[in-house]
Amino acid sequence: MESESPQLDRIERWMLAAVTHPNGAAEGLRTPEALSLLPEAARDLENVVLPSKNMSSEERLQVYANMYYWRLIDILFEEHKTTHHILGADLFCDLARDYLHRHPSRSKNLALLGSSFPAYLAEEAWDVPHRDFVVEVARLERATEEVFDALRSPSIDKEELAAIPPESWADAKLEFIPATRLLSFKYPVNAYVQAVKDGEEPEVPEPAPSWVLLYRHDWRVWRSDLTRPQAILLESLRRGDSLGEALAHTASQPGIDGDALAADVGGWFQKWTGLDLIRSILV
Amino acid sequence: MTIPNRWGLPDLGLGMGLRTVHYQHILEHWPSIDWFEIISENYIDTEGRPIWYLDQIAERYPIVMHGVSMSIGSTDPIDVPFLKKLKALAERVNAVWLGDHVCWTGVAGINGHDLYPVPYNEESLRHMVDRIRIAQDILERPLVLENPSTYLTFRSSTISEPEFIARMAEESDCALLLDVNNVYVTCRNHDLDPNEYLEGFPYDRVVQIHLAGHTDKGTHCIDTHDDHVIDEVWELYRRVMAEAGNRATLLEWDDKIPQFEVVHDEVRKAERFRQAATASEEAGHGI
Repeated sequence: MESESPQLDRIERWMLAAVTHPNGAAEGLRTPEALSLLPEAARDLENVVLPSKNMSSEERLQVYANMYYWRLIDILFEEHKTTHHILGADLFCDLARDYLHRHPSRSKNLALLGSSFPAYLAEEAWDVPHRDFVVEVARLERATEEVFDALRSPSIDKEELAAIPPESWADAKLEFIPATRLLSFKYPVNAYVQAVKDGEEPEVPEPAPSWVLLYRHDWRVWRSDLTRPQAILLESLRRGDSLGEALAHTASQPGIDGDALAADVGGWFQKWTGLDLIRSILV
Repeated sequence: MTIPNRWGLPDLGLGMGLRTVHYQHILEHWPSIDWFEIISENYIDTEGRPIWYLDQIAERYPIVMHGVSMSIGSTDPIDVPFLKKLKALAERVNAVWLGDHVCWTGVAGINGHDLYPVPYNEESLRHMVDRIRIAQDILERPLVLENPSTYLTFRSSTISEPEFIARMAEESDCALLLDVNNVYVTCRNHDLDPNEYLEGFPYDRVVQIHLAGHTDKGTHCIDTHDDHVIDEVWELYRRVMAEAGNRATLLEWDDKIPQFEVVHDEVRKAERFRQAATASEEAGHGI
């Protein structure tokens, strides 16, 4: 639908094209989009923006261009501090700028700004050192933001648990609270992230499979390393398998000791229910 | 003298912007502050810790909602689902009022997350008045719109900013938030006199005042909210209090945020100007 304010519409589209250009407003004015909207601005910017006593028209427009990237890169930095640590400030800023150019925000919710950043690092970014590891770190950091904001929901209480007949457990299906994520990695990502948080300067690690459960408890996001059997079991349950099916699936995986699994699983459930991670159990 | 606002909205006293770094202090000390202002968007589409804190704080303090992305000047369609979320949040925290800025923040579906200026002319005026009316109908309450800090002037502007805002408020019947720091910053950036800016400002529509620090870059000022309020801005505040009477006053501090008490002490400085306004009013009655 065409705007009822055509001139205003052109000015707004023109200004956004100019101030969001990664190389600055002067270059933004000369993009095909900006030229099609207000060609007179490219001939002489003073046709559209007046200078002040102290600043040219271009300098005044550039104030907005500076703020656009400064503000949004800072938000990506706050969300991806370990990714920033690995890449270094200059490369992180260059990549963040390129990401924002390719994936401008389409939401009022700034928490969604970085939602495609891990995929961008994996698929679009130019020469990223240690790319596989960096992408996994970015995935963990992104998932942390999602768990932080996830829907609130009640968790099952002890009385509801106690009321489940023992013979029903094998067919029971578990529903987890929305504020959980199960992540599997090729690298020991959680250990690295924690080391950086602790102020250390860890080397980029060698590949080694790892699994992390992210969850929100007492309004904080926690990262818990999982063993391989725990991760397989949780993944199966989150897919919708019954507890019996999930245990059988886990026990059938190479290298997993079924007897040890049977001995351990009660303690795991005690921990997960104690952390209020289970929303309901369907029997 | 005191010019009452036309809605009879209360003078809430001295408030602070509610910021995450102060949550714990507030819950531990329940400080003596009159009210808090929230950035509305920080509590929409999240059910994490911020809204948990806000629910508790809203039980003890009046809350005002101040947004940054309504984009009332945009030529994109009005974001009705967003307005409904704002309305739901206002009901949840029993907001005394809610508002945003005289600006646009995005167009063509892209959000720049900044407060961009419109050309101040008849076309923009018609456009914004229409949209404010629609937003107010959806929200079922007056919008409280703030004069923004701006850094450029469009050649197509034909009306001064204060006149544009006054006509916009009159024709849409919205309320205003007068940010005196923004008056200073905008006037510095446009070679204007802030006292002339305030001449004839429609105080009867002003329900709230903002104070903040800014960064002086020499050639221009940036509205950074990262420092103490400068003396020139306090002088503008003194003038507004003297001419309009006391209004709910809020200090914004959004970057390099110091401890709660530092921000609290800064907003308390406003008390002397508010008292002066009261004394002036009483003296006026005595004559």
